[in-house]
Amino acid sequence: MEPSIIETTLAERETLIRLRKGETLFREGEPPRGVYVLHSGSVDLLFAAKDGSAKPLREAQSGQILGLSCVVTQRVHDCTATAAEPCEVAFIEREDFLHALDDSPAVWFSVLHLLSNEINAAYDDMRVLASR
Amino acid sequence: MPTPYNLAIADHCGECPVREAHAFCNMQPEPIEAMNSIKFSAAYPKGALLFVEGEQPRGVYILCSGKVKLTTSSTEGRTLIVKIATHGEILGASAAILGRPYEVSAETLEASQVSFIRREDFLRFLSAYSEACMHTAQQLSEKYESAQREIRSLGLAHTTSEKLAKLILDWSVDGEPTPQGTRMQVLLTHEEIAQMIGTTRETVTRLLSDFKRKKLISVKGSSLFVLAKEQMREMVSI
Repeated sequence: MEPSIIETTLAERETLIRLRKGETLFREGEPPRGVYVLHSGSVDLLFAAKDGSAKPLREAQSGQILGLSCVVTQRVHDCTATAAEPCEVAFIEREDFLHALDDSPAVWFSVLHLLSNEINAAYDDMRVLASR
Repeated sequence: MPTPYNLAIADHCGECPVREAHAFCNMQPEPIEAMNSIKFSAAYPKGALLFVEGEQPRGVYILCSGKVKLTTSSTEGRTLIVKIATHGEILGASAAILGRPYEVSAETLEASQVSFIRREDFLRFLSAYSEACMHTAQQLSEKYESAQREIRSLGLAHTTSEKLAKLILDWSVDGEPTPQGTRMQVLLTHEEIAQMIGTTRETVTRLLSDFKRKKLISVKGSSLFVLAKEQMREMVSI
């Protein structure tokens, strides 16, 4: 199953957002409004430490989908996404997104693929961090 | 007749007394019946390996009861516990979905009942029931979010004592309030605690004594009491 199938399905429901460098897509602690497909540019994902300072987590590149896990679990965003350079982002509202999934099992599969890849990326980060 | 490892075994998913409390298995009767017909249930003792990092994915494992530690090897070859899975979780799903080797190893921390579903059966089950997809997606997302929290403490904590304090505070959320402080059962050895925060067994033993001396915690058998929660919170900057 090709993960790209999700982009075709979502394209019908998306709204385009243009971000300037430094603009924020969503903030840590906010409830998720939907998912974001990064069409161009790159986005910094940041954590806030207790003293309020922002610590970098990783960089999201074009083609990546952000906010997927929060939309599925209905938990608040666990990081802040800020444009590292000018970005073009497609936004799909949560309800529309879940609707698209109801219509097609193939799209469900690509969502499961994307989530699995996200887990693997997180485990890779952990392996490196634990060696420091 | 005694049951294996004294576990209360539920053989049929439809009759499982704790199914509704289980994140993955709380589904409509139809998908549950379908799942029941493709799963193989088994009881494992403590210390059993369900799957090993790097193995080709045979299928998924649903933890019916018990606890399982998920570990990986750091780039330096140190064992790192990425998560302690509890009953109702599905394990090995990302590997089965991607068709890539297991990213982690899974070992039981106590006697556990586990249901295994072969990869092909699991994928067919997903394509037949969108509810199963949703529940799998939730499980994957929770694994991801828990990994993110680990990354946060591994990456942002300045000292090992801060990481240990954070771990104990995280545990205390599910602890039981008592007049002496919040009590929790710690099933992990010092070695395993070390593997959770990326340090050595010796450091964990030394830091726990240090915490005890400072009257932050006390230990009786496998019970750990948090005596000074506020003071411990101040140690944590993340």
